Amino acid sequence: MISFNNVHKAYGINQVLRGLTFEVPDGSVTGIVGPNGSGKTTALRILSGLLSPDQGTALVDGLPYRGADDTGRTLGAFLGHSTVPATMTGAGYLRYVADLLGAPRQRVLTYLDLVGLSAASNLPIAGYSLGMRQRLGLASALIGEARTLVLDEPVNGLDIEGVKWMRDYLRSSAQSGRCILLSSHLLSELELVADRLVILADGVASRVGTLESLRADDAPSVLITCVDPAELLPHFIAAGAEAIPEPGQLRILGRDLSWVAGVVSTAPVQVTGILQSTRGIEEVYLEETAHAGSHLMNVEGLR
Amino acid sequence: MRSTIVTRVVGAELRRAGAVGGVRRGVITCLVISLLAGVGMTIVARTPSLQETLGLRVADIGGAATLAALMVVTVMTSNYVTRDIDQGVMAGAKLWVPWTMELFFGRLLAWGVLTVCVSLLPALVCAVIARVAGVSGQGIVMDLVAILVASAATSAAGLLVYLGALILRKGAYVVTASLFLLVILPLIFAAISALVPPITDAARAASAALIGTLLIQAVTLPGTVDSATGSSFAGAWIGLALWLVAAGFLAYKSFAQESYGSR
Repeated sequence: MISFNNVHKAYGINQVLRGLTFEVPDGSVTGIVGPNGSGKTTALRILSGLLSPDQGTALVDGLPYRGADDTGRTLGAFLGHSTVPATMTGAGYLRYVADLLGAPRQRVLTYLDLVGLSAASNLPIAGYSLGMRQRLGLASALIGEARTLVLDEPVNGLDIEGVKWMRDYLRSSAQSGRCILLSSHLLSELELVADRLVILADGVASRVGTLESLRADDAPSVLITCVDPAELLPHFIAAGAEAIPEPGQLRILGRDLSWVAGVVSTAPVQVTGILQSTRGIEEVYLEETAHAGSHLMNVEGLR
Repeated sequence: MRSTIVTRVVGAELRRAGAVGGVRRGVITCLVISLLAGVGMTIVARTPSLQETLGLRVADIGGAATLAALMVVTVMTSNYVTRDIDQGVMAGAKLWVPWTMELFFGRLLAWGVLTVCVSLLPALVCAVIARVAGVSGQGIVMDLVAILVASAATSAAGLLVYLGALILRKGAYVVTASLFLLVILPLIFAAISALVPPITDAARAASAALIGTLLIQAVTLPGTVDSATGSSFAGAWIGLALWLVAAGFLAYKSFAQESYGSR
């Protein structure tokens, strides 16, 4: 089990985490999502012992990662392909990781085969595609056969087949009792892979729960289609509503259709449609991260 | 410190050094250049007209091989460490071995073993070749001691470059710092000695504490050269040890930083 307890972290004056608290139970795939700079990677780095929290604890099976007797069996982590050296071969790199972890070298071929890199195992990593590096990185996280997996943007660069493989693998790993935490900026991908979601905003876990519970907990929103959402936005802000402009439309949160229609009728703006929207996880995410100030940058990336 | 972790890191680093993307080319280059230097010196030593003027012995030939090794080791070390930082190897290693002290010492020890091997092996081979070729020596034991000392000095220099590269992180900075310490600073002290007579003694003392001076004294065994004494030899090694401790302290402080090696 992974547990973050009141974790704070600042880089200089930039306070990235402000009391991050959530748990990842065994036997589940938990996705952590948030806008750029929300602290996803920082949280994973703290858990992996690469950063120290200013306050609070990040524990794997009740202990800090640095306190584990057998790091390879405790936590398998892949925090991006920037730690995969270009000059080594795939097999050489995995052998190095196995040696550092004290894992048997015989596993190298097994895991290269598992991630589909057997044929390229003796080629320099410099010639690998981004997807191949991601697969190799995943193999480096798996080779210790840890009970807990932490993966930062694991599907980044993978082709459709690779994404499907990753999804199936993570699901079956979780079913065998592993605890899996992964981050992604692709909310749609996390929805397909994860059982549970942690939405990170302003350095805290603003929402934590299963996908079903997150969907059920939220009130519907209203979607207004118009030529210029920016023109309509001030009217709703003045009326005290929370509104999110999207391309060609404005989303009003926490209000019903009749209330929205009332505001629209008083605004001198051309509106082409008003629609009661059934909220998905994406809407929950947008609402939770609206206060973070940077969500608009990610709206396009989420679609 | 957990010795099992250090041993594991040493093994992993040595195996990586021997694999593709390690230092195989550097090691081969080092061995070839050292052997060529030693064999070349042996030929010179066996040339009657030169032998009379130069008076080369077996220990000199071993020393020449280690000096050649030192030059290659310096470049190889600087490249290897800075490439490890650039390619994220350091960051990766910190992820799998989250104990900074053990990781630091394991990597340092591995590099020490490697530099001893690449300086000692060719020196020993060259010494054997020189003996077989009939070059005179001071006896097998003294020749062996001289070669071991030269090899140890080469390793010390290699470790200083290793620690310097950890601190400076860029190959160009390492080369600049090496040039400054080995060439420019001694020249500055020499100039000060010449231009400002009142502080000549102080400048000489400072110059004697520089790495280059210490390395030369450290390979000059007591009794082999008129000017060499036991105290200057021991002092040189103490000086080198102090340089290593100081550089090691700074390198560890740098290595232990949270962001070290991350891109």
